[in-house]
Amino acid sequence: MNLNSVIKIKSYEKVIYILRRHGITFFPYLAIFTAMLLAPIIVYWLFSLSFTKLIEDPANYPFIVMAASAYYLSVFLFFYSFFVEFYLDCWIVTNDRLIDIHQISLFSRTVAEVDLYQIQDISTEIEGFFPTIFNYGNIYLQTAGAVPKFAIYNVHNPDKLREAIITLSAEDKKYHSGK
Amino acid sequence: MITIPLYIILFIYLAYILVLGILAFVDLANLFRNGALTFVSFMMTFLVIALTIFTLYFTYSFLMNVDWQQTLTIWNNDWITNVLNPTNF
Repeated sequence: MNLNSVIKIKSYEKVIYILRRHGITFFPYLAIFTAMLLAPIIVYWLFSLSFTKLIEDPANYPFIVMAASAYYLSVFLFFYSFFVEFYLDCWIVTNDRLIDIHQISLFSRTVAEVDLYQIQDISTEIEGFFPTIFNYGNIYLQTAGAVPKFAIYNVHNPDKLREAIITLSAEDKKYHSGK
Repeated sequence: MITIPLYIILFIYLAYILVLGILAFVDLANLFRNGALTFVSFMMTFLVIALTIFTLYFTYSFLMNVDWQQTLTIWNNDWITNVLNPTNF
């Protein structure tokens, strides 16, 4: 991943983690996508039972084909857009700061960052069946910076990450206090 | 009864495909601009492009022999009158 196109890495800065949501959290999108792929087959079957003339009319054939084609192309695009939003949501942890890149929609994105020395408190949350089984969850950070609360959602192994961020934060505090 | 030539539907379809193409390009541009060109994003892009080509190819092959000058009935009063016709019950 080429980070220079997103953030300016300082000369002394080193990227420690690039975090994304756990892959399993994309499965609901896959399930919706599969259901949307199957929907026209069910609709066609229901129509063929009730509106036989409408389906069998040769004049309607091109319209039905184009409608189905437009529908499927829309589903592929929505799926791809969901993937891009999912994939571009990420958190970058360096030895100096934590950067939150949030792709809200196709035309909307926010980037927020917090210096590690400003982190005051970190907590993790693993809640639910799938998060417990696949070991993913949320990390919440309280900071003394402009962004008082920071959250990292659905990352793999949040407890290990919390410890790593605490260690990095302590090192950064030492650096900034000049010790 | 209101009828329109079938090629009007084709133009609407092509305009819609153009809009979808622009949105897909924006998605791809977002991936490029954010430096997220990894194996995963490449595979997903490849899958979506392959499915799109597959769909467009089948649409073309199904519509190859269509006479675009024929008309499509978009509204017919009989649809309503026949619904209310007691013989249909």
